[in-house]
Amino acid sequence: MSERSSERKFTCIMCPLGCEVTVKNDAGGTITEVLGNKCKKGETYARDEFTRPMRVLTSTVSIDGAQFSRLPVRTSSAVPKDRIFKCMGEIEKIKIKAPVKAGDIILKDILGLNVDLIATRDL
Amino acid sequence: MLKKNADIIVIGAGPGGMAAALKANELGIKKILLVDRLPEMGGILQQCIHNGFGLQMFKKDWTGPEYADHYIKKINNTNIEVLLNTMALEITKDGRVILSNSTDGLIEVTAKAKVFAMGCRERTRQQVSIPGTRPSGIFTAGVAQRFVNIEGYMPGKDVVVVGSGDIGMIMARRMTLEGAKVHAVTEVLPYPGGLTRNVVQCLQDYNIPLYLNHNVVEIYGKDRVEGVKISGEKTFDVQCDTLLFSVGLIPENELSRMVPLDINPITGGPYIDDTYETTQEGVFICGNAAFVNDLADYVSIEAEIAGEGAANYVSNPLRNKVGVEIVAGENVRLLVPNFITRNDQATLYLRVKEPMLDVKIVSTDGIVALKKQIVKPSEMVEIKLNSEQLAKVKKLKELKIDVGKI
Amino acid sequence: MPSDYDIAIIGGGIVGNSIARELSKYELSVILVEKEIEVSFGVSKANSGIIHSAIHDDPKTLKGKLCLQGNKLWEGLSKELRIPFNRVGEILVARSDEDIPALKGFLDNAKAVGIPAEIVEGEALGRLEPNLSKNIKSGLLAPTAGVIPPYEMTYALYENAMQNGVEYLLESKVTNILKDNSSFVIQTASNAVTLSETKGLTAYTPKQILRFAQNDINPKAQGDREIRANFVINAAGLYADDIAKFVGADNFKIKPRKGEEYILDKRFDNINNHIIFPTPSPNSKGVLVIKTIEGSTMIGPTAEDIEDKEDIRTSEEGLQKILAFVKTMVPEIERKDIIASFAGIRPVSDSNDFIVEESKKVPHFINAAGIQSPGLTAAPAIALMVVDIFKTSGLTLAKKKSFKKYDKPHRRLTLLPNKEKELAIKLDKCYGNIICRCETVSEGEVIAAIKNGAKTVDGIKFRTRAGMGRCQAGFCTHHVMKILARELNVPEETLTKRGGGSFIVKEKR
Repeated sequence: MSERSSERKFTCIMCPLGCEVTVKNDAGGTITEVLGNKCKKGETYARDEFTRPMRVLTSTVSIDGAQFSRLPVRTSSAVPKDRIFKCMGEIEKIKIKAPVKAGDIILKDILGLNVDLIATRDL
Repeated sequence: MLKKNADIIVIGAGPGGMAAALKANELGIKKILLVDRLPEMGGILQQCIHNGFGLQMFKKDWTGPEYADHYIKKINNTNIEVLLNTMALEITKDGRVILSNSTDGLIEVTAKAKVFAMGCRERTRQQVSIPGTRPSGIFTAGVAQRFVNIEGYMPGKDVVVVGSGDIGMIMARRMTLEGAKVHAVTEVLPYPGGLTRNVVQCLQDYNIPLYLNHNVVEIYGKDRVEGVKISGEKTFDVQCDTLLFSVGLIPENELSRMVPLDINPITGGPYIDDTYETTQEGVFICGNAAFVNDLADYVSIEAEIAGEGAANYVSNPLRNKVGVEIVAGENVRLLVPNFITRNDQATLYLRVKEPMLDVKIVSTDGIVALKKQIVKPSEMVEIKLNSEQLAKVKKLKELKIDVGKI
Repeated sequence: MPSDYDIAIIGGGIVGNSIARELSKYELSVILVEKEIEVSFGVSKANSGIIHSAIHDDPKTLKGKLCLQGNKLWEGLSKELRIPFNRVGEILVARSDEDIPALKGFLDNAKAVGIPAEIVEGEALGRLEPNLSKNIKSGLLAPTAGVIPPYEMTYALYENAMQNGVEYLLESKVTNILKDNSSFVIQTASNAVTLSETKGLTAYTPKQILRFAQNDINPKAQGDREIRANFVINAAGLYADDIAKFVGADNFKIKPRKGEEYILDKRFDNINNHIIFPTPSPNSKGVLVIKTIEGSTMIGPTAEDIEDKEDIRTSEEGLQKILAFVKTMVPEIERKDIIASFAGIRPVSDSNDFIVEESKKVPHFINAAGIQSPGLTAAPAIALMVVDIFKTSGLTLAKKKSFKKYDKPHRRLTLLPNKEKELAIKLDKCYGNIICRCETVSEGEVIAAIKNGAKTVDGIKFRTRAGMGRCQAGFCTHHVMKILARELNVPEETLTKRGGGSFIVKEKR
């Protein structure tokens, strides 16, 4: 195993500046340096994006007996970015019946991530 | 024809119309009629199922439907009369509003004040003159959004997005999540048209290539789209079956023109003052119908001012408003409102022509002096004026705003 | 074996439908076969709606004769079919002094055949056309030119023909014509594309779309028919030569000549009072500023000889050529004012003239081919000429005692006074539900269009104008789809823009 380090670049979204932040890491994956950020928020953002990027997922599920055939849903909090497509797989299986209220839990503890899928409107 | 009377008629029940109607109601206006052509309130918000709404106004990270729901529930708790599935057809010469729906047929409304909140429509492929064939499979991004999120259609499976406006980037992600392959997003300018947040979370997250300084120059396909030619630094063909256009929004002002009101060619909406009143007394306008906003939050803020303006007009139609003209200076493409009349507070919204780093925003007589690290055309700048500043503004013939390097 | 029909007409554009309606006045059994899903979806789809004065055409040619004859028939025809017709007149303008002698020449020719025309100059011209370039000092006014709504016209002919017994077979392509003693046997194959073949695919790759467009489908699909008729009328537009070739009646070739046109924003409505032509060149009428019956303004067309009969692409060069040209006539027009564009293909015969005659080689096979401009103007005259051909060809023509008048015009609700709108809504509340904001079209009108034969989004568009406005169908498409699906009782994902593989969406979840 070589002792090569590598780097990844991230565009920070914490303010309109959109600094390009570079995260350098060693062969083991540990962060060795963070450059390019103009403030502390940028460093935190880049570190998080490097280690465990999280995203809120929004989509729709099939609903029967409502005014529309799709119900918009969201994850109650962010899920790991690398699980998004697996989450979509679970969401695609769902078929629910009206009525639903905004905030109702459509799917509890999606993929065991301790995050729920909730309805974002009444239907 | 069914005849109705109202103190205020609000045309459009999206974020603008709802906030305006609620504010007027709060201020004690008795008869408010809120009209929308869709089957429910919420306007475009109901199809914007992504989050990012309410960060400014409510410190919440809501989805569009949640933001709409906040207002819908409030309206349902008032005596505001809501007419849905109703199209506003015409403003007559004497200022009446003709509506049409399939329950009552034609309705003539006489209202003391009107608030226009019709929103905007999307610029089309035809308006950006891309030559080639005219197959099916070409949509504006907003129409595709409605199709996917409300109607449950999948517009297509191999997509190219033309224009890196926010709606285009959001739909690039949405289509990808629903199983389509988005092959490219093209942008004719050297910088993205929408928020950086969307470039990262919609395009970079999904490895969707963004070709800046590139444009789609030809569309192929006999019955259905089969591909496009993209040209810029490189010229190449991309096979696809769907094109989404996100090339700009145009305020919807068919009704405004009937008043009649002149349309400001820069904003696409009528000329307005800081109470969001147009040059026609008693006619107010808010939301994207006045000028294209970045955030629904700003729309709600403006709409409350319009609603308050309409309420004040109803209570006291004989007023003497003196306005100071606001003029766009260096590197300012859009500056609204066009006149300042208030003494207590006012907010100006500004869009620059070119992105710039380390800028100062200054005005005549140094009344305004703001520093910003970065300004971009896609992100509106708010300029708040307090009573002290407004007192100085009143003494001027016009207030000019310039954006320049520090 | 006896024939099923006296006459089979191949091609359902303005010519085919004009002939069909004219023949429906007689005791004859007539069938019209059209390869597209709706009538008027071929060459006629790109028609600009101009009724020419005939001032452009050589009166010695067939097209010149039929144009002049046709021009005079439009008042009567438009009244019978309850469609609007406006003799707005045309002005051929001299864009430079060199044009002036040519205009004089056209004036003399017009006088010789009795076409009303006069030279208008200076202030008088300026009064007639205030938005004309100040560089234009002289023009030739021909007041008998006019405009009609071309789609409404074709639909009116089609519906009136059907009312009077003409049978229509749509979405059916003629694959061969055989002669069997005294009959023609016309073989057709369905031109439809089924969606079922696309379900289950994970990606709608372009190769597959192309495959569907080339009709790689089950040959036994619905619509395949054999039609036996005593007479055939070949009104097959771009493919009239191929149709004629089946029976050896092809003494001509059809060469495609493309024309691009651009539609301007509403704010250019009525920018000109007459149709503005440049002084024509030998080969082409030139680029025009066209006034439509609704008052909207179009610019074009180009005239480009091409190879591919299916090439309806618009081009950057075409646009620039048109803009440069029209700016010399109406300088206010800018690129940013364009809201829509299209291109059509003229079926030009190798003699550059119309061919309306019984084939000398194949008796009872009548060609009505090579109908380029002024085809719309000439259409009623072509129909009469075809009837004359039948008279001399030994077909007994007995006039029907009870020819049904056309009684169901497509009326635009938005143009009616409010009292009439309310009556309509009382009769059917669907007229109160406005589904197209830009052109103010009601659900009631969309339903009427479907009852009259519309099956596609474009079919609705051309009958009702839904989708023709500023937002270019952004708001109304999903409404139109819902109504089509409901009225035709088909799944939404089978709906197309204009037939074939032009499905609007991939699937419905």
